[in-house]
Amino acid sequence: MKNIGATFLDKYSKLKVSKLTRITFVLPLVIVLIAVAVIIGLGETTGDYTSAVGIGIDFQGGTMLTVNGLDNDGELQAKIDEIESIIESIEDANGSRVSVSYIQRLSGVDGISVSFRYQNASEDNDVITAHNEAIRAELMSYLYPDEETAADDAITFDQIGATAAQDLLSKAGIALAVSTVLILIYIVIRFTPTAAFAAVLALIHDVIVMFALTVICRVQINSSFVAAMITIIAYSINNTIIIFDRCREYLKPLKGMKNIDYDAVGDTSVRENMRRSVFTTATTMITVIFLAILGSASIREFCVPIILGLIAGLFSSVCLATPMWAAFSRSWDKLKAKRAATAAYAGAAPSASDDDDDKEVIFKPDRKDDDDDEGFAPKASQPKSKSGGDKPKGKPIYKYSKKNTSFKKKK
Amino acid sequence: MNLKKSIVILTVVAVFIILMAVFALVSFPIADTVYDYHGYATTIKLGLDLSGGVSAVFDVQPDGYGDLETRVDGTVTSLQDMLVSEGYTEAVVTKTRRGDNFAIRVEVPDVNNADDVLDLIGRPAKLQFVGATSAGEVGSALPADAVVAVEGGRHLSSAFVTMQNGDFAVGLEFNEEGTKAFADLTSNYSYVHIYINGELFSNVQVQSEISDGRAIITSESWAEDYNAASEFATQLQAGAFGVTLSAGEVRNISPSLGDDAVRVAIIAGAIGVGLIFIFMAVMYRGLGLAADIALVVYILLLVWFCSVLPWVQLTLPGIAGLLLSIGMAVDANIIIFERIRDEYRHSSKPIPSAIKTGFKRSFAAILDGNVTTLIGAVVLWIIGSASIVGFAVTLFIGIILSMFTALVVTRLLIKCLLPINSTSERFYGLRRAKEGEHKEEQSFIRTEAVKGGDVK
Repeated sequence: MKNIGATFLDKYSKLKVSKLTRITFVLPLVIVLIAVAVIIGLGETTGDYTSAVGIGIDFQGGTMLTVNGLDNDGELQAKIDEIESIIESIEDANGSRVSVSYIQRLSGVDGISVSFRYQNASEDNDVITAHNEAIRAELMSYLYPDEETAADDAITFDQIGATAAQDLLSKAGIALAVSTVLILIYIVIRFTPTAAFAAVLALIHDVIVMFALTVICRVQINSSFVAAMITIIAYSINNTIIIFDRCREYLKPLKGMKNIDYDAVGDTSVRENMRRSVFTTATTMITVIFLAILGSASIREFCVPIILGLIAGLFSSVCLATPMWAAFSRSWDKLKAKRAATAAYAGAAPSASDDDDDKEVIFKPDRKDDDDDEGFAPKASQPKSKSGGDKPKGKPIYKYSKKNTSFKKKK
Repeated sequence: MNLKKSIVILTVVAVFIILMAVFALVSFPIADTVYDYHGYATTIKLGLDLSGGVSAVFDVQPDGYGDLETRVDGTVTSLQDMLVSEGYTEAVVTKTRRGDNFAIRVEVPDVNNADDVLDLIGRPAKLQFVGATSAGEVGSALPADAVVAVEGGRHLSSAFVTMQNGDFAVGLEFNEEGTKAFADLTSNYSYVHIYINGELFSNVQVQSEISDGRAIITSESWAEDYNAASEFATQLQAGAFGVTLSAGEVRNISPSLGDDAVRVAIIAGAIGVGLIFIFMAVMYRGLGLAADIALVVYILLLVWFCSVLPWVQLTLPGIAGLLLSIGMAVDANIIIFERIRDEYRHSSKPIPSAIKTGFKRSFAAILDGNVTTLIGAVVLWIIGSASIVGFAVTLFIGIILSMFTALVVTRLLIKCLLPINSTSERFYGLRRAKEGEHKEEQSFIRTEAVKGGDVK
C-alpha cells in the first residue's frame, strides 16, 4: 500500500490483452505506415532517399574538413564550437545544410588540428565542391580575418568513404538470421512450436518497429545502430520467454485436454508478469535515459534507438506475443484434432476443438511464411471482433452450421 | 544453516566486495619489482570512440595498372581483416580521397606511439619468385633483366605462420592467377630464387610441379621464433595489397564521441545503478537488499572480466551491452522475488519455504530467457564482424555472470538472512493475500465449447 506504483499496477493489470488485439495489432502497422510516409515524403521532396531514411556517415561516407594550425589555448573549445556552427550555417546551391557528425582533435608535430566529419548535403560532386569552398571561405575569414592570404593548407578537405566495415550489415544480417533459427529451435524444444513461432514473429516486429520509430524520430542510423538493434532483440526475446514460461506452467496440468482456453492462459500469464515486465524495462531503461540526457549528440544517436526499442520490446512481449501464441495454439489443436478425427473415423462428428473461423487452419501455413506480423494483424483481429466482441463473456461463439459446412467441404 | 555460519558467509562476501573494489581502483608499485599494479578498472581497453588513439594516413601510390579505386577498396578490407586478426577489433580503416589522390586512413585505438601503428600494418615486403634452370651462382640483388614469374602484390592471397617439421614456417596461398603462375614456374624451372624487396632471400630446388597454389617458406633465422615468423608473414601480407602504400602523417586523435564520453558514461551508469539499488531495496526490502549486494558482486566481476579478457575493447555499444546485462541481472532477481511474493501471498507457507519454492519455480524461466539471449550472443561472436564481436563478448560474459549472481549469490545471501530473521513480513516485504483478494481459481478449459458438439 505504501507502494503506490505497485497498487496502481495491480489494479491495471486486470486487463485482458487478448481482448485488445483490435488496438494492439493495428498500432505497429500504423507506426510502420507513418515511417513509410515520412521516408517517401522526405525522399520525394529532397530526392535523396538515403538521407530520408537517415542512413548516417558511417555507412555513407562524407567530407572530412580539417582545420590545421590551431593553438591549444583556453579558447580552443570555444573556437571549435564556433567553427562547427559556421559549417552548419552555410547553405549549398540547393539550400541544404550539413550537420557535423564527429569532431576529433588531432595532435602531432605540427600542433593541433581539428577534423570535422559531416555527410555531404548533395550527391553532385560540383555542388559538394562549391559548398565546401563556401565553407572554407567563411572559415578563413573567421580564423584569419587580418591576413589576405593564409597558408594554403590551413583548411583541407578529404572525401571519406564509409567507416563501417563493408560487411558489417551483411554479417549482422546473417548473424540475425542464424540466431533467429537457433532460438526458434530452442523454443520448439523447450516450449511448443506455436510459442516459437509467436516469439519469432514478436522479434521481427521489434526489428521493424524499432527501425520505423528511429526513422520517425529522425535519428541518424550509424554503425552503433546495429549494436542497438541486437541489444533490443536479445532483450525482447528474453521478455517474451518469461511470459511463455508462465503459460507453459499453466498448461502443464492441462496436458492432453481438449478445449483449452489459450486466451485465458495467455491473459493470466501476462497479467501476473506485468509487474515484472514493467519493472525490468524501467530498470534497464533508466541508465540509458541518463546516458541520453548527459551525453553528446552522437551518444544520443545510440541511446534513443535503444529507448525506443525497449518500449517496442515491452509492447510486443506483453501485447502481441501471447495473443498470437493463443491463436496459433488454438489452430494447432484444431488441426491435430481434425487429423485425429479423420484418421479415426471418416465421416464422424467434427473435431472437438473449435473456433469461429475454420479458415484460419487453412491460412495458417501462409502466415508462417509471412515475415511481417503486421500484415497478419488486421486479418486476425477483424473476424474475431465480429463474432466474439459483443458477447458478454467475450468468448467466441461457435456456430454449428459453419463448422459442419467446413467439415463437409473438407470431405 | 545456523546463525554463526551465515554471519561468517556474510563477512566473507563483505570482505570480497571491499577487496575487489579496492583493487579495481588503486594503483601502487609492487614491492621489489619494477612493475606497478594498476587497478583493473583503469586498465580496461577502450575503443576509438571513448579514448581516441592514433591515426595514420597511408598515401596510395598511383600506378598504371587500371582501376585503382576497386583495389583501394580491396586493400581497405584486407587492412581491416589484418587489424582484427591482430586483436584490434575496434580499429577503423577508411578510404579518403583528395582530388584524384587516394589515401587510406587507419585509426587504431589504445595505441600511444605512432610507430606502433606502422609496426602493426607491417612494413610491406615485396615478394618475387624468379625461375632458374640450374643452381648456379646467384647475385644478392634481383637482376634487372630477370623475369619475375610470381609477385606478391599480384599473386599472393594470404601469408600465415605454420609449422613444418617442428619449426615455424610461413605458408603462402596464391590467388587464382598466382596458382597458375606458380604451377608454370615449378613445372618449367628446377630452381626458384625468392627475392624479398629485391634482395635474394633463398634459392630453392623444385621437387615437383605445385599446382594447388600453396607454398611454404622456411628460414633458419626464424625457425624457432614465432614472433619473427609472424612478423615476416605480416610483411608479406602487407606486400600483397593490391596497391602500394607509403606512410604519410601519423597523429594522435581524440575520442570521436568527445573528450568526456567516458565520464558521461560512468556518471549515467552510476546514477542508473544507484536508482536500481534504491528501487530494489524499496520494492523488496530485505530481499532487495540481498539482490543489491549480489549486484555489487556482479558489477565488480563484470568489470574484472572486461579488463582481463583480450577481445574486449569497450566502445559505446559495448557499454550498452554491459548496461543491458546489468538490467538482465536485476531482471532475474525481480522474477525470483515476484515469484516468492506470489507464493507467499496465495498460500499459508512460512517465509523460508515460500522463498525456496520461489527460487525453484523461477529457475526454468530464468534459464530459458538467458539461454535464448546467449544463443544470440554466441552467434554474433562467431559470425559478427569486427566491432560486433566486442559487443557480443561483453553481452556473453554479462549473461553468464547475471545467471550466476542471481541463482547462486542472491540465493546464498538470502539463505544467510533467514537464520537472522525468518518471520518478519515487514523485513521481507511480503504479505498474505487479504480477504477477497484471493487468486481466483480459474479454469482454463472452455465450457462453452460443448456447444460446438464434442461428440465422441
